[in-house]
Amino acid sequence: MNHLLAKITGRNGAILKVMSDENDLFDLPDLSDTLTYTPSYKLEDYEWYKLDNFLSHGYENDLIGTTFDSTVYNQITRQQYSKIDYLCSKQGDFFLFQKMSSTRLLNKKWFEISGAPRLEINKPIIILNSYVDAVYSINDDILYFKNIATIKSMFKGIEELYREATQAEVDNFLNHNFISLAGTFSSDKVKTSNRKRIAIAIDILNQFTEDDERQIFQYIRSYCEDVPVNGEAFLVSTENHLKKILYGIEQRYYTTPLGNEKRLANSILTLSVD
Amino acid sequence: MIEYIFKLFLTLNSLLLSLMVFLIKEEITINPLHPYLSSLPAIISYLLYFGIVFILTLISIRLTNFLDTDTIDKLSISVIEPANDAFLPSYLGYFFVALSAPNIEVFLYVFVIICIFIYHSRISYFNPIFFLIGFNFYYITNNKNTKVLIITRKQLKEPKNVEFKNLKRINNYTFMDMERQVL
Repeated sequence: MNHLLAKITGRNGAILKVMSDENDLFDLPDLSDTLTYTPSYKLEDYEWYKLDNFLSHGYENDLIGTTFDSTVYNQITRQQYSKIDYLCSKQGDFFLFQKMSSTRLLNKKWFEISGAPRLEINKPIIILNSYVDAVYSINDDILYFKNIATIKSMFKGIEELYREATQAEVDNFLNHNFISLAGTFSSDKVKTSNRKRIAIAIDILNQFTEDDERQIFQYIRSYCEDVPVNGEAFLVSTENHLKKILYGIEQRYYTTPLGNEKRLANSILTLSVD
Repeated sequence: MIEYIFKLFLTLNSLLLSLMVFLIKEEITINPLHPYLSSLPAIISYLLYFGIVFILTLISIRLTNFLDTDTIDKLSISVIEPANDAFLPSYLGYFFVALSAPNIEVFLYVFVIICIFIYHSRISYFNPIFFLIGFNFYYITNNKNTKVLIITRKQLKEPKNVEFKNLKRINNYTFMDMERQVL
């Protein structure tokens, strides 16, 4: 019997039972091409990163590491479906994880393809993707995954493995429209801590539209007045300037509602929205 | 929606035995229904009532097959406690209500109130007829210290050997085991 479970967003979000089925809920991917996680390697489509002796790393996830007992988890209620952080299917000796996104919850009108279709209104459905974001093998104690940024909400602390950006990626990043290098500062002078941030920033920037980029540029400007600007680009001449821009891309700046104090978030915790 | 109707059905079912007790106390028989039945001994009616309750219980067990399935792996359970004794006294309470109700209106009124209460409580599925069919009630505490009620045909004793492959979720704290005892 296979079980589909759902983790609710937020640090204390509960794990809830969605359903059980004799059929596989997700397809177990082909895990024949795997390699131990290394930040410098970029996966081909069919390849998977893996982490051996996964439990010993201590990346927290409440589902794995104990014997499975589905009676522990309460049944999900209608109101909770919109708050799912990720889905997990227990299939035999595997846990398959799939990140949930708002696009997967369909709030549209739909009908079944049949000889006598009936229009269904106000019956939201959830689409299960055929691919999964992570696979945990109970017997081998190995975690397989594709993208560490996707699974960092599933396994607490795993982002510490997050890679540094490679030289090529740093070059590429610094060539971005809204950054121009100034003085003697060049891409090979970027230090480790900023390289890690660049690796994160690249993934964020990839999801931005042009409009988003303009917005983020204005946002950074309003908080980092000490970073010089030339037209639509920041003039980066020190490691510190770069750091400030990278913080901005992660949207770590905020203003307190009382007192209007500008602040930098040193650590980020996404809050669940009720 | 279907699960609420289903739950209501099982709740009513678990209370029908007290309705039977009331009918017997009031000496209501099926005899007046038809001239052919007028000379039947009363005991036939009473047995019939019991038969109906019994059959409805069997149907309710059949219906649980449509509920969501859960499993518990070996070594997940830390404590097993028998729970039969905990439920029977409260159930006998319903009998006394049935025996002391002066008329059908009072009885139905109390019946509905009890019905609402047990519908919302976790014992909503307790039905003594389960004992006759071979089910037993156990509280089991798992490794995560959650205590649930299991209705099963198995005789449970040692936590480390116990596993369940076909539990039906009645509510978040009550599960019915559809497996037969393997001897």
